[in-house]
Amino acid sequence: MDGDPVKVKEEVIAENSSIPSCLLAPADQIGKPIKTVKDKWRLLPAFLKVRGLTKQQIDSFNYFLNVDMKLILKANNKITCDADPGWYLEYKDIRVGPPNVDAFCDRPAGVNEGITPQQCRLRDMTYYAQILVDIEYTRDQAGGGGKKERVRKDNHPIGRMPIMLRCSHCVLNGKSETEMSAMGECPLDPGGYFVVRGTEKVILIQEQLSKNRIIIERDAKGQPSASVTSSTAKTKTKTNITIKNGRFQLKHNSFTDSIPIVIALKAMGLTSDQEIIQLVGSEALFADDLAASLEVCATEIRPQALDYIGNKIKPTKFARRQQSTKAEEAREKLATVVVSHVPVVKYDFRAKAIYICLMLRRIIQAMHDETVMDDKDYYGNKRLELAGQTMSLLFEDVFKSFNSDVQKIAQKQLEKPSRTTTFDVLKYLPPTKITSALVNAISTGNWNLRRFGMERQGVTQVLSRLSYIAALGMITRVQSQFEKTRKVSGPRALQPSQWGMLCPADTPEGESCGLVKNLSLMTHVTTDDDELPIELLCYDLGVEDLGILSGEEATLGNVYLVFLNGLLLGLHRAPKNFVQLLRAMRRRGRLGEFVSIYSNARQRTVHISCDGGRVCRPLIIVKNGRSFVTDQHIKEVLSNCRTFSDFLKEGLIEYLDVNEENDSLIALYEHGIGPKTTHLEIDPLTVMGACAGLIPNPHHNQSPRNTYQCAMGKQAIGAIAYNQLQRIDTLLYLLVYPQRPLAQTKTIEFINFHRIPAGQNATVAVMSYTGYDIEDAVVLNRSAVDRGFGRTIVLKKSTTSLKRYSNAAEDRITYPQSGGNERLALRTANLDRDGIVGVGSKVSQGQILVNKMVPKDISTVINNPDELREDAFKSAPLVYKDKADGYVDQVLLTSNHDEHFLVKVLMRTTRRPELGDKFSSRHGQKGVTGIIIPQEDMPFTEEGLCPDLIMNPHGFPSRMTVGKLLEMLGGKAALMNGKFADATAFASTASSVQAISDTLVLHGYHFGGKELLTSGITGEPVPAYIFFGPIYYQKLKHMVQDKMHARHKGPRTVLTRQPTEGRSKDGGLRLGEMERDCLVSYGSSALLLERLMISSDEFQCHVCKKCGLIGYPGWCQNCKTNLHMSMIQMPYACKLVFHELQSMNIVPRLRLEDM
Amino acid sequence: MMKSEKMSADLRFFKEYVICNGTAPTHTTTYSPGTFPEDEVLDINKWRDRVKMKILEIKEDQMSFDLSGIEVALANSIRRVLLAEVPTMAIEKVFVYNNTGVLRDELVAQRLGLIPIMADPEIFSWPSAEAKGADETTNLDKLEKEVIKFKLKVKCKKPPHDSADKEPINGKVFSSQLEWIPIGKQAETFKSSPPAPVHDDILITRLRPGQELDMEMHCHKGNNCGDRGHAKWSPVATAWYRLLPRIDLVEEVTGDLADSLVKKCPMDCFDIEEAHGVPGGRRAIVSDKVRDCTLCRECIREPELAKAVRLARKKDHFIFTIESTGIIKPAQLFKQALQVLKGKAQNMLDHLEQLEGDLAVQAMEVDEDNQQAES
Repeated sequence: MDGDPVKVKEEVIAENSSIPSCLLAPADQIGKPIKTVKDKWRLLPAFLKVRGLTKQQIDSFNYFLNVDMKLILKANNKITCDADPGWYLEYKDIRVGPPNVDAFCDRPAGVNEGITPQQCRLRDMTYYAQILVDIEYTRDQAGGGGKKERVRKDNHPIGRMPIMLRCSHCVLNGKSETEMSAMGECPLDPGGYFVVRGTEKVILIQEQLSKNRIIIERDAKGQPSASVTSSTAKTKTKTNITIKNGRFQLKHNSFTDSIPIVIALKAMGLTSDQEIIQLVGSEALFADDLAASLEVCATEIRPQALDYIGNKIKPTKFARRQQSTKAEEAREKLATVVVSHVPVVKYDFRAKAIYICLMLRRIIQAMHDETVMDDKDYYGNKRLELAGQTMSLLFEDVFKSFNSDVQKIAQKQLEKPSRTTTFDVLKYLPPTKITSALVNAISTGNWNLRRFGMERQGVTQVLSRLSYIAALGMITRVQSQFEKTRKVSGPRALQPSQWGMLCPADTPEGESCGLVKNLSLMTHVTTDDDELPIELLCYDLGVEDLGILSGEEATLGNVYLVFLNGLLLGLHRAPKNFVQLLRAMRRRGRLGEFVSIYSNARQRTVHISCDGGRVCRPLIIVKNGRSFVTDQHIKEVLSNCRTFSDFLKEGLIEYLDVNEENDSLIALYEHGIGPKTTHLEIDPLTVMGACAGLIPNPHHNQSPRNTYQCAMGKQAIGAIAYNQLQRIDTLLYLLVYPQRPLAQTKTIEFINFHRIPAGQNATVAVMSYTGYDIEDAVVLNRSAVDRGFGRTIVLKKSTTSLKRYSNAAEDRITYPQSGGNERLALRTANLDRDGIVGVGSKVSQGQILVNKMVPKDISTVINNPDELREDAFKSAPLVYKDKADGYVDQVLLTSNHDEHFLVKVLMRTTRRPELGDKFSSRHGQKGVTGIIIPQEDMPFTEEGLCPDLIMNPHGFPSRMTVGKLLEMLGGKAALMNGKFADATAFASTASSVQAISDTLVLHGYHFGGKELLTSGITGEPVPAYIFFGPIYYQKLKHMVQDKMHARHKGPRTVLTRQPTEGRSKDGGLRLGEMERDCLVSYGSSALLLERLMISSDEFQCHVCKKCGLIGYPGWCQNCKTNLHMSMIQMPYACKLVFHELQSMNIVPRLRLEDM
Repeated sequence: MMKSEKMSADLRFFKEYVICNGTAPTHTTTYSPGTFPEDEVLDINKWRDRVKMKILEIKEDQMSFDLSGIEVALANSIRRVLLAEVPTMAIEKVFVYNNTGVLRDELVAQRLGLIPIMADPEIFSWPSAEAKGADETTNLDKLEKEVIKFKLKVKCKKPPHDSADKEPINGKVFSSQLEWIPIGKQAETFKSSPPAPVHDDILITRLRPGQELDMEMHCHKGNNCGDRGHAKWSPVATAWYRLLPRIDLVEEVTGDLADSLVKKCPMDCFDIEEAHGVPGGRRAIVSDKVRDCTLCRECIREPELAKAVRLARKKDHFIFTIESTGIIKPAQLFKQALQVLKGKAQNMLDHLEQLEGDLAVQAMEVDEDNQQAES
């Protein structure tokens, strides 16, 4: 122990002193220039090689499969039965096998076939693996006579677990590019998602407030309160301590009323007021504020306190155990529910009491000093729940209910007085319970956990495959638990502590702005780590257990409290040394690399965290003003002699989480390293995420533009994956000639966007031309379009499956006999002899793709279904519905999981850009095509160059997208140099612009990229120099062909007889209230009548003039007469209202008058 | 008086030259006749004397020449006609019998269309409705004047085991693999110059072993004009002109400044001349490379030099460049363009004449009506 009190005092003084930092540097370091490491950013690809963008998800799922599942099993490892005490079932071990499915018809049952993710996608199956358990149970001996034998069964399947792609159990794990392509998988696909029933599903990262930590905040009344959300494997509860009339109260859901804190403490075994004050803090400050609370319950002793609490327990629906008294019940509640994460062993409440006193202490501090209040939005107080944790919650719940089902079955079977067969539990295990629960949850996104009464919707989402970036962005997306509808800015605002962890640009606009975030490039999310070794190490390093001390020592003197994952371990008398030692051990690899150690000088605490869900990122360690990483290291990385993990192992780089970051001094650049600097950023570009990384020169743009681009990059059409033509997706947009951007960023290379690009380098003239380019519209060059600019392939899937009915009848596909029916012959013109369209044939609207026949009778049992005649079937064809003609790209015949014969037809159309198609550069500048003009009308430069695209200069002044100007300039210079331009975030400086300009001038261009253009229409020079050069343009998925719509007459809704709504239903265009108001104010009554009634739901009905009710033509059923009927027109909706009112016993009567 | 004369000299300069200032070019338009007192009524003989053409360079598929003394509208018309209205032959219809490659049918077809086909479009006539409607079963013999037929049948195979080359056979399909199928008497007519792609090394698609292409193509005559046109029928890669540059040193630039001016120009448009009695003993002059001026405006970037240097472009002197796709020789292209232009002008004249006649008839009818009314 190095608890030299004098020394400690010195250190503390040094920490808080205001001596200029330079004076603290070692003498030999001052004045020396700091050598910079040149290609520090090379660490980034090394990092991504080891960790990758989706590594957090995969790591988390791996942890779940390999560690957490076993822990869950251990916690629920035995099933016993009241009916037969001799019977039990014990789980010994659990594991997950390789991904496979039950074999298909032609193989013997029970044989499993390995599957690949691509097979699952195509065949609408789930990519899952068997959950295998080793069990030991008893069963009746074969000979009978009530004797039991113990049976051990290894590798018994209890269900299937959906497998995350690229996790440790995935077939893709550790495979080479060639092996992957052999499996039909794209080697650049990030993985980290599931394939469930043929669709790719992502479990979104959920952001939550960290568990088991004291949070001091203002309550509704504006007074400070402390709250702890305790979370253990068994319970999840929230405990609050609030102030009421100057007295402290303990609030908890399981009590009907708040409980005076002193009563709670006394119930926990604190006997005297002095003890309480000592534990909270014996300074006058704390004693004064506690006085009121102490007075209220001055006389209480423990039994009384327990009785008091026992009377306030909320009655639960579960029947109370008879034997327990109220006091016992209260003791139980205090032990297991209140601040439940503090363990209470054998009703020893000491630790819990100390913990509550600590909460009190923090509140009292907050009462006097606002600044110690916690910030909920501070990212150190957040935890990210990844796929592994989410799955683990679900699996534990499902496993428990599986076990209780098994127990119920056992109970039922064993209760039977006389069993005919011996009870072998293996035969009774519910075979599909676990599988279907897991698969359904992932496929619907509904996480319903019985244990915590949790019902969450939208946990999973379908992986968007619109573009590679969309898929990447989705896997790194972080969703906040916060309600979208509430209009508070706090949780939505960009928190300074998110620096480097979450992308500052990538968030949607609108209601979920700031609540949905994206991880930065180097962010890692931790998984749970074992606490015990750390705890032991802490005690070895001089932490004193509070249990053996009185409260006094904890609060007085320069003593720091040590917490491990929010639990108080004890105190330490030389905290600075302690922290240094721990960190040194972590750097040596004696502690987990993700363990975070940080001290808080104000609260005088040292926090050690090893829990899962903390966000962290790697940083270069700096000591004495020197970065540990040198040029030599980078050279080794370049020559593949050094991996990222070597840097970690050698203690050159370490991971810091948000809290520890706050305890460090991190230099952004090497020239910023001072004597107190502890760390150095690897590269500032890592603060951006994958989507924002595409933007060239984002640091020159107005920030919202970067945010817009993040949203638009996900809509850009381009390549999707290497296996894009093997995929059969519902909708797939592909660019025919995708190009790699000329202005590149480092991120683009890291995330392989340059291999799977989405856009084209267009030659752009920034000018106003033809006038069809106002309001952000762009002018396209027709010849450029002819040559393939923006050409897009659209692939659409139609599916049908052949079902087998209970009466042995089956759907079938036949070649239709048109029998001279010309319309049918036309509709079926493209069918092959098997009744399915041929690949390559051109299909028009209304033509049949698959001529499926459905049996008319599916109830009477049929003996030989194959001999059913043609007329026993009715036609149920798969019809091509698109307006534009398409070509059959692929036809897939397979069977899905339920062994239904499955036909998928992929239809392809090729589109060239047309008027109204949307384009965007990478700077949030979108625009639609305003006009496509022939090349001869286009302006041309002195070199004879025509622009592909003309953009209006009015797009610039208000948007301030200087990055776009630089992209064009850099791109132009890049063309001259024959090299890609670097436009990485925070990299280019004034000097690089100068270099670009010099290059341009060298090749005879204007330094600012502005050229003399000649109008192609007049032939005269344009009286302005035009900014001219290449800009990377994205074609966005919004295309006119998918949106254009008009109708004259068409379908109507059944109920109101008004025209249907929406393009897909061939609906009408609504003349809404506001439009109606215009017509009303204009006084055009005939037009109103025509729009609202005649063209909508005009209805002729016969009304009786006498009673005013609607009757038959020429007969009033009410008056039983035919004398007074007359026909009127009214909207059908009006007639409907009358009849609805009549059904409610309200009689609307029409009063008719002759005009 | 002196002052007004100077002004008129300036004005005359504006008439003939585009002034390329640092901020924006001015006087870019050609002033309409009558703006200046010396403007004459158009006289075709004088105009003919004024127009000059000088060929600067002529290569296999590129030509540049000076065209001076003509109006901008005419020069631009020639350029536009070159780009859009001179017809060529290009693949218009593709009949796909088999295509197992990764490139989808439409895309192969688009790429095929853009391949320049060496065939004299003059010999062929515009496609009739029959040619446009032709499919793979149509007997094309009647259409031999309208259609050129090609075939592409390629199968990719694994390289033989013993071969050193690891690349599959036919892994790349080039334009040279297009096979001409003569229709009717075409075999005889084109004996000397069978139709074929201009370039042999245009990559059409790539295949992997086992994949194959089998398609038939029809070439039609067409142009790049209007909605029916397509860039594939454009006979030029591009055709454009630029105006003849002129640089004047309106103020004397001497000494170090002269050096820096010379150094500034990336095209070496300036030179140094020894001169007595000026600071530094040297002054800048405009070199003989003025033609090369790219208008980078480096020379007028500094305010000091901007006063001294005047950049200009001559409005009626066009430096034309025609880059042919190789189907038609550039000089031939220019001739054809003029022919098309002439045809258009004739068409216009015809219409006008017809209009005149119509008007005369109308007038006569009106007269007759009037007479009848009077009587």
